[in-house]
Amino acid sequence: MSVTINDVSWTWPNGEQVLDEIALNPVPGTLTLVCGASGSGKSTLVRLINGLIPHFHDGQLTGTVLVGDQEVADTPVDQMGRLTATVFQNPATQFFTTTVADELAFAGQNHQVPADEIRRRRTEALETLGIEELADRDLRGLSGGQLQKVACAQALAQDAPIILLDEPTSNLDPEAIDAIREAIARLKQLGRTLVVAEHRIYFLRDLVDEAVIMADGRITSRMSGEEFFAMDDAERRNLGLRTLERPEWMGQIIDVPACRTHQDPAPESSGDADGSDASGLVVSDLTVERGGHTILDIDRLVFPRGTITGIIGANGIGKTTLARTICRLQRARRGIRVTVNGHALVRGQAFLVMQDVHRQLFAESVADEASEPQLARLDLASLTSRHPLSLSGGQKQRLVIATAIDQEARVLILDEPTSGVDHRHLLSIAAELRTLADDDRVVIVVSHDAEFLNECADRIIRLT
Amino acid sequence: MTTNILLTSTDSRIVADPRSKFVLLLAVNAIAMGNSNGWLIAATSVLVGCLLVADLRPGTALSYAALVAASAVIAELPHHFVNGLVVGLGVIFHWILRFTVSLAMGGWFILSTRVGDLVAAMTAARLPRTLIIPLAVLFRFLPMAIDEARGVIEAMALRGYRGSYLWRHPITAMEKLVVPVLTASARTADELSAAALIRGLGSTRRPTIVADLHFRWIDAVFLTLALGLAGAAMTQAVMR
Amino acid sequence: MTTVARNTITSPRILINIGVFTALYFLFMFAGGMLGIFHPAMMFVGGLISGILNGIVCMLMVARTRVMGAFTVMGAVVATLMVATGHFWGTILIAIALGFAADLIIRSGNYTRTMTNALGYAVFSLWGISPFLPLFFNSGAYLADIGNQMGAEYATTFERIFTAPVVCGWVLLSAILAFCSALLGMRILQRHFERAGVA
Repeated sequence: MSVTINDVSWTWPNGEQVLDEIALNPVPGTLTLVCGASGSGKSTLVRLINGLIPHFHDGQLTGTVLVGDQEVADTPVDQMGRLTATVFQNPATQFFTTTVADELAFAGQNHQVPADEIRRRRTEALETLGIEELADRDLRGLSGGQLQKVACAQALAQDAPIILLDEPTSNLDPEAIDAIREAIARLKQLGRTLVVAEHRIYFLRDLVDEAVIMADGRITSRMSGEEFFAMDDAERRNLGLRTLERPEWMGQIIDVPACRTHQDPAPESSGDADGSDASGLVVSDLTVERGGHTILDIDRLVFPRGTITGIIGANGIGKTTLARTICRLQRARRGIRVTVNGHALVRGQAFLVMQDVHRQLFAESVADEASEPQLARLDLASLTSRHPLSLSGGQKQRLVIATAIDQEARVLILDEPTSGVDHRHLLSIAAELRTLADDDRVVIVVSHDAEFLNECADRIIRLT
Repeated sequence: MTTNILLTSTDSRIVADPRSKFVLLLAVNAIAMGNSNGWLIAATSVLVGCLLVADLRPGTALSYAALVAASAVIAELPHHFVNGLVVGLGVIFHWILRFTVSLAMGGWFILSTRVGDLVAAMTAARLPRTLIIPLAVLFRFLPMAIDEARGVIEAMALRGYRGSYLWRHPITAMEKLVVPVLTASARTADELSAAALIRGLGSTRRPTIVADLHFRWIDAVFLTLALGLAGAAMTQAVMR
Repeated sequence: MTTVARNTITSPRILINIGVFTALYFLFMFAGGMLGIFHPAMMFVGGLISGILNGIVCMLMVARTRVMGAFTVMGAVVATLMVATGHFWGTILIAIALGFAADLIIRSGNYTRTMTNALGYAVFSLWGISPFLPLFFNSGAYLADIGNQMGAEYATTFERIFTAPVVCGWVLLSAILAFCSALLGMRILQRHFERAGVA
């Protein structure tokens, strides 16, 4: 089935025009990649095809969108699911039910598909994507990668000819991204028409038929998949795109076991050769237990001041727990010693910038949240009268960093600071971290994002 | 499977239609909260005990039995020694006994029923959508709300809003907790709505029921028990 | 930025919002109740905290739904859960009736007037008494039973503690507290939620 977008413009009620004379006509059975900076209109384009525009969002629409021969604006929104299925960015909010089985039945139930057919589609979808073992699981407790695979299976079970994916890998680690590539490849093999809006693009190599680059609500360039992935690095950076190659770790990686084996006393498992020098953050004898299991047991870790240290490791190995323990959000067993520049770390000196930065803003206005010099330095001075929670994700993140500097944190830990960010923003976060480190702070980044860590980390510790 | 406060899947041994379980629950509730006394309340508490033994951990059933027995004894004391203290205790334990029976029944109902089956049963019972959709969303969102609140409390601690601050500025502290939690929840509500809307939620016709909801022998047992309890309660009321 | 107007109580958007806010209502109610476990005196503090937090929750719900029936549905859902967990069955009827009354009051102020919104929440909050109503109505039977043996005056003393004045005092106190909580909620609505773009 075909999708035809004819000269469409879309303006929000506040007058902000986000799509300007868009024309796009993905060929049935192909994969169209839509990329471009945050705010370029990628997500809006997806919402145009699945009917959320104009049925859910208010605004001014001109032009027509046809799915097959049906005009989206004239199709009742509860019938749109027969034409298109959407995989969203955030696994936490795209599911309506609580179990995998219920979720894969949900759309069919609402469309009054007979129960036997729903069960058949469900089984088939799980088998097609190779996740039969998840059939009886609760959604809660699945990893981010598993959830996005369930979302793909859901799209398949929905039995719609067109599948839209809106930044499906934002919250995923490299292995999960590889798995999502497999899922997307299967969907394409089955002849579905796919439209993927993404910042992260390397994983779609050899799957993209047409690539569309957007800026400021317009399509600025379009090319075949081969041309797109043949671009050289300079051209790619010029367009503000993230890497086209699967990023590999550069530089030396220091392996530290998450749970030490007590047989060997591990004299220099410190993660740094100059373990005797006490400048920077030193964590020793850190043991964390949860539910009777030891999840972290580390002899000694050193994070030198003035440098950026990346922490990597598999999902669930304890990276976030380590960060939370240093910031005293997680209890550790007695005997733990945490010092910064030779003095015991005082509460408040170590600050965690969470993945959900919106949880860390409390004031009525940006001006009340942080001091003027910090706001000016972090490019927030023009926003002082706004409510902190009305800012964009990147602005919120900078504001939280400003609050940390205001309370004179010597240790800054950032948990996955780059989920869902474009290339320009990635570089600006890297530059900001460098400034923080140059100011003699200890900067630690917990991240899956190899492209980002290659850009900014001075050293990388891998928990194993 | 996972053990949340609200289970989404269970390993319960009694597989019954949530509707017959709920009818039985109502009968137990009416007896425990009403005027019935003597052998009827005893029989009801034994019935609830049996359900706990069948489906929950033995420890739970054991503490239930102990609490019920102790309360029954204390509530009986005023019949033998009459003084202010004893009567006061009698009244309190009279109610502790009854609330224990009723709440234990409720605990069994919630812990032994899958959310999906409950929603299916409510759809099959032709309850209005205006009740079913919010209830389904509630079960879906409650764990997220707990995570969100926990996360904000941690973020407050990082900024020094912890310990004595909370007692010195209780209203400000509540505001700092509630504003991020509610803002995030409101945005989540929008995202959940968007994702559900384009998958057909809101279609005016009744959704297909996929869960297996046929009438089993255990449903007959539950309904008979409910009927028996209701009949006995009525007889007792008339006799008085 | 998104369609909130032109909705009725049966729109999925509205029902999902009610579900989300009812979950928060239930969570804060439960969290307040948990404080009572540590110390009986904390039961009062816990109830107070729940009432204040939920005043804010409900005022945001009103701002985001603005339809007749939101409190009726919230009452029905909360009470269904209360009964399903073993509380007095009459709670369902009482919560729906009070929810409906709250809806009428709030609608009369076009969902935006501070006084009517606060009064509506205060009325709705009274459902919280219903799980305890059996204590007031049915303690008599137990006491009458004992009364046969111990003489009437004990029975009547206890009966009196459990009836009219206590109920009235409780109703009045919780209504006033709820009203004040809702006023705070309206203030936070203007200071935060409207400016954050979620109300």
